[in-house]
Amino acid sequence: MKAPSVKPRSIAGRLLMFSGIFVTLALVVAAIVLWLALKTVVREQVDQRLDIQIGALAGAVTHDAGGRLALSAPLDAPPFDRLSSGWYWQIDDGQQRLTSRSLMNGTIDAPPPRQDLRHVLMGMPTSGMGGDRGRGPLYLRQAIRSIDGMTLTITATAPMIALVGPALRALFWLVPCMLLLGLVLMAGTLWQIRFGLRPLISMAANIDAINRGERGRLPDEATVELAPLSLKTNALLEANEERLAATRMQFANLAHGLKTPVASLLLALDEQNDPKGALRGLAARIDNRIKHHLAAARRVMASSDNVASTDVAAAITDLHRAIGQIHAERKLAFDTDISESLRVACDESDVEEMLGNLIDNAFKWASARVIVRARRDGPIARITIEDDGPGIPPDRLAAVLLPGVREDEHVPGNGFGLSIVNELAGLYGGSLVLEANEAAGLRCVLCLPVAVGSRL
Amino acid sequence: MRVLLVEDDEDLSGRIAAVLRSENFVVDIARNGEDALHAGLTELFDVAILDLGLPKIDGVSVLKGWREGDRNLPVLVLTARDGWPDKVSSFKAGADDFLAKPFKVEELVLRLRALVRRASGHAASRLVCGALVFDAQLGTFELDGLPLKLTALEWRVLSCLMLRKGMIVDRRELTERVYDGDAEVDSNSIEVIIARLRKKLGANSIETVRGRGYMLTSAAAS
Repeated sequence: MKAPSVKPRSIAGRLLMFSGIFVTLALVVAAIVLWLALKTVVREQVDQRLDIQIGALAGAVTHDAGGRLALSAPLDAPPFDRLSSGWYWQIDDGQQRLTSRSLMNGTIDAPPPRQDLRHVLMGMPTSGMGGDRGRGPLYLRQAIRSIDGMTLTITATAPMIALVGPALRALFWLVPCMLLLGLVLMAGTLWQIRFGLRPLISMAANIDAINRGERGRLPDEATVELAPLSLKTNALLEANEERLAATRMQFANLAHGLKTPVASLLLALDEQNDPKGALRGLAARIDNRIKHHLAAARRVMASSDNVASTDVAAAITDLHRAIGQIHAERKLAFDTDISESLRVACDESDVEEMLGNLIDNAFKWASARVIVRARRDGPIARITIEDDGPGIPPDRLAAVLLPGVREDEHVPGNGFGLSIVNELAGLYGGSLVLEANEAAGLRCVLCLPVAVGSRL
Repeated sequence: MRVLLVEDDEDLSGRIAAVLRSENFVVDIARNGEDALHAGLTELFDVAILDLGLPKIDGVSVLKGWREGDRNLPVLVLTARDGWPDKVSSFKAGADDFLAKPFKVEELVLRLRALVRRASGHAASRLVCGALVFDAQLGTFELDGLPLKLTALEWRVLSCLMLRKGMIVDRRELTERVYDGDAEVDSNSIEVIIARLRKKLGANSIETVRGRGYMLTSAAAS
């Protein structure tokens, strides 16, 4: 099994992820650096304090008359007066030692002081770690001084907490500040993504609108990075449309070029020169072949066209104007019940072809009335065309959807109408169903996908 | 009845014209859009047959040009483009009927007659004027229930008067609708035809309105 991918799918997601990682790393490094700097400052302060104490002790220590170590002035000022506080001092001359009151007669255990060059030359105390008889670690400063011809080791100590405490208290502020800074940076990134990616988002929305048939081209692109993409897309759309239009024109010319001589041929043949009608039959077959291949070409073009959006009510109004004229002699009632603003996701000429064939068929067969209904049914537009004519026997309903089958040879028609509608509807993911009407006649139910922009 | 036939294919237009003439139509032929537009705008026709794929100016533009020039003669579009989008655009441009190639010539004739009749304001296909009955669909006349035999010219004059029964038909207009555009017309010939028709229908059947023209009255009887 493949491990689940954590790569975000969107550009915004990628930008957010990378900037999240970057901000976190930067803040961690910044926090470590600050923590180290803080510790150094605190340590230097402690060093200073201890060194002052060592200096004061070195200045005050003497040997009294009895040869004992003594201070010329008391030097147990705070914090060296607090018992067991860790703030201690000690003067050691090898035989005897003098200690702060806070050490309570204890001893500071310290390693022998290091004697590096800096300390020897400048007389600076050295740092080290020590303890006071197991009561916890101590930070200490040691200096070696020669007083009255005797070498003294002066040690001053501070508890470890004096080193860590102020830094920890600073951290108490530092961490929330860093978190806040991180949040601000991430918010900035989000804002940047939102506004920085706006041209891309609007381009995607425009392409979506083209797919839905709501617009024909991408608008002029103001962003330098996207301008070539937009130009190229528009050029492709244009080339595609031009090619389709040219193909349509070629097929129209082909139809015209072939059908005119066939029409001539049919007019030239009569009872005298074609008594058995064999030649007229052949001419009719040529005509049917032409129709068949033109219908096939139409299907190919329907599938290569952009997804379009066609107003059903407007198409039916236009068709009724035409069909009403063609069948003006029939004086049929035409009733419609069509949802306003219902749009189907099909090319306008294909919608006209499908509905034209169905409504024309209904007009051919109806005795008094043709009813057209169209309403939305979820993602599907359901268009019903009913006539009150003789109808089609139930066992023939499926057969008339096959190409070249004509229900009645006496009514003019090419026998392709219903099969063309069936195939065109299928290409758009729709369907054509023929049903016997309850009262009389035929009911054709044409289902087509609703265009995305259709309301209701 | 005078027909303007607009068709660029010489063979087909010749054959259609021959059939229509045998059905008593007067036929003028235009072979390109430019001639068709001009003829439709300047001459009188009862009906036009219009191909869509024409040289110079396409059929739909010709039709629009006629309609914009206030020419409301009925137009039958006869074309190889038989898709519904073409039909819709033809009717939008002002067509009155549509027939796809190839077609049955009988159907063309029936549709032309129906167009002329409807354009004259007659809803029914049988027109009655006294004892005279005209079946505008079949193009036959009956007088007192018996078929009436007429020559081509007589038929043209009588059908023209019948479609405008009770109205005065201008003499010049009658001449235009009865003769081909290029026929040599004798100024007296219409009067000769009228006289022959009066002989067949009765002396009072066709009234002469002096200085204006002729009118078919309901006085026709054997």
